[in-house]
Amino acid sequence: MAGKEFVRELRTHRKTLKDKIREKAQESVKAVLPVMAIVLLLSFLIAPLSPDIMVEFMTGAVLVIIGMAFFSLGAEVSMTPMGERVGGNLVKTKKLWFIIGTGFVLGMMITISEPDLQVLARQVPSVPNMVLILSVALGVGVFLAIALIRILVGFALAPLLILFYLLIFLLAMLAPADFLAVAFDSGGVTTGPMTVPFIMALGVGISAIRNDRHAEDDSFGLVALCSIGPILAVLILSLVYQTEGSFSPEISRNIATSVEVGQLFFEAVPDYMKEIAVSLLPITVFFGLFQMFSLKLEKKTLSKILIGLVYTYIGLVLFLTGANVGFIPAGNALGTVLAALPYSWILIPLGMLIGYFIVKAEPAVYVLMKQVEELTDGAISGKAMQISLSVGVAVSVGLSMIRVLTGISVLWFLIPGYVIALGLTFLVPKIFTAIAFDSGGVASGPMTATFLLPLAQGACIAMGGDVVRDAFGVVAMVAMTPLITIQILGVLYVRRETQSADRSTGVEYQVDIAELFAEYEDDEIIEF
Amino acid sequence: MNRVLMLVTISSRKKISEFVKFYKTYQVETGTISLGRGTASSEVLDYLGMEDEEKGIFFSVITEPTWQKLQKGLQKEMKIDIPGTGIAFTVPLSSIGGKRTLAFFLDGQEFEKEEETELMDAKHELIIAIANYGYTTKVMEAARTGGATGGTVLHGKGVGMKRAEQFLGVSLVSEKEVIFIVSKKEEKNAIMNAIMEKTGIGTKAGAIVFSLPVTETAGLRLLEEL
Repeated sequence: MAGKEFVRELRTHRKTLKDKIREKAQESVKAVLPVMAIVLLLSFLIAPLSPDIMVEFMTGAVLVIIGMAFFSLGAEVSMTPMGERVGGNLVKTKKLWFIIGTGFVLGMMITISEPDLQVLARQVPSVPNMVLILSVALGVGVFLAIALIRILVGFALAPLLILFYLLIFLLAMLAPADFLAVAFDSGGVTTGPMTVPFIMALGVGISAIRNDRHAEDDSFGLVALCSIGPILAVLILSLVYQTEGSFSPEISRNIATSVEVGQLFFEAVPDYMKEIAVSLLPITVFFGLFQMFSLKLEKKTLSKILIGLVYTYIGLVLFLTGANVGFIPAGNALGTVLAALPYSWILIPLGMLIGYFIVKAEPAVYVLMKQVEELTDGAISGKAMQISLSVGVAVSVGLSMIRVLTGISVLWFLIPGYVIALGLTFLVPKIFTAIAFDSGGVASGPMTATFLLPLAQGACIAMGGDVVRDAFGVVAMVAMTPLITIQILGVLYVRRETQSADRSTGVEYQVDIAELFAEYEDDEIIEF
Repeated sequence: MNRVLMLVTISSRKKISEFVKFYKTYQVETGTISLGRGTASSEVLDYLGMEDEEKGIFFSVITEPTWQKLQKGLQKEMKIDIPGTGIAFTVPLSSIGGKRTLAFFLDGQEFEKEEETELMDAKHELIIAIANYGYTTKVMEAARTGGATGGTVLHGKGVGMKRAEQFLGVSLVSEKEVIFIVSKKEEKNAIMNAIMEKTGIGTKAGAIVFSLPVTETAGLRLLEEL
């Protein structure tokens, strides 16, 4: 289309354009603003932070806001259709081995290209990086294949989860304590903001082709199973390489002028451009192959997806640059300062407050909420989901801060937590179990890694604790509590359903209509 | 007998709950919400992903007198005539399965059995096209050449054509898209012809198309003026 026409078309649809931009901007501002406000308020009142950290944080927050807006715009039109189309197409081939193989290869590829995994690998120096990365990737590959087959044959999710988590906790008993936190953290690592939307959409695509009552329920649960693989992999490695984890604190630069702040961000941008490109690559290549050999979408659909990919890319680059450069130092410093206060217990309520609001800024959470609303036709509202997630993360950050202050082992929280979560699976509808276990991986995204984890680390160092044992495990906790809160939402939901059913069964309908049609039998068809 | 109508309301997903709340004040309490997508009104915006395409569709059953009351409220309270707010229209029902069901739907609404109402002329039509998954844009392109302005898409699963394909003991369905287009009666045939010609049976889209009479509308002012 010619440039002039393009501009004219934009102009005629000015209002729609404006509305959409405003809507997206509002969404992401709403998501990030509360955290900004809390940090700002704390830094003014009780937590003396250096001005350069504050400037970095504010700049980072602005980038995060813009990045969020782009990401949510892009994920909707690229990741979701890509996953759904590939999923549906995969099943139509009706070749079991092809489906298993594809799931396995896809799982491996997206895990290897996940930037967080490199970071995780460095935390466990006793295991060679390549060994760790490959075994985690293997874990995800195997479990993605299992998850795909599960959706296809409609095997219930809960028994699988119970089985695998039992296995995990058995291994956890044998594993050295230093490994535990890292192992459980690794579950959240593989479910990055890029892969989650794609994997979730894959599930929707596969189950959409099934024709039974539980098809919708089984759309979820892919992320849930995929988070198990890495935990198992790291635990098994820990038995082989019986040594400890280590932690090397980030070196923060001193900054004198605003130009240097600018430099800090500008220097980081190319790194993240490369990083995101690498993690976007496998999905794109994978989709490309499908498109060439079997999907054969029309040009128009395809170009829409490509434009969406560009949005997603820009969004994630901005988001991760902002979060990594701006949020990590602020989180770290805030933790250090708060833990040094005479009333260091304040870390617990403040952590909870921050946790409550920070999930809203997780990019994948937005995608999950959309997906849930879509598949349940709005019966499970996005808002209810979001509140449950917020409560869940608030609790987990609170508990993590208790751990940092007291040094209690992470297992004391994880074992009862998972027992409750798995126990609840017997009480709630299947779909809630699946959504809950998915949201564990969804909630523990880049915001957790760049703000909550540094917060815990900073506090831990200030308290003189062991960072590897006490601070790590935040991700694991954030990934665990939503399992409980979302399922509690399910319990409430069931209760409401039965209550309204009770009410409607006893109701006497308007008498006159029944009288008006007295000559008709109860089941007779009334012609108007 | 008062005529009984199916009321269909289409608006953005955020607004649809406002409509449902509004209808409650008129004793229209039972209905079903489905989620759908709007079809693009501008190609450029569509490419850029800048259109609010998420729609909610509310189906409910009302009587003629209820519509008379609703109509004013839709214009005054919901401001349905402002473009982009939504549309509402009614399709007459010919029968219903049992008086209990009728009472369930019409609980609290005004209903007279004796009154005679003459058959009203339908000025509009609801065109429904069912096409293979992924071909909405094609079908809409065709419909536009016949004079359609826009539509709403629901996701569906096709059943019963042949014996369903089986895989691992699970029967597979073919995914379908159900497209709703409201048009003026005079334009209906042109739109339907265009859809049949360009995307009908035998093409990849494989669209089948039929229409229902629409007796009352609100929020279609644009369509009227065109």
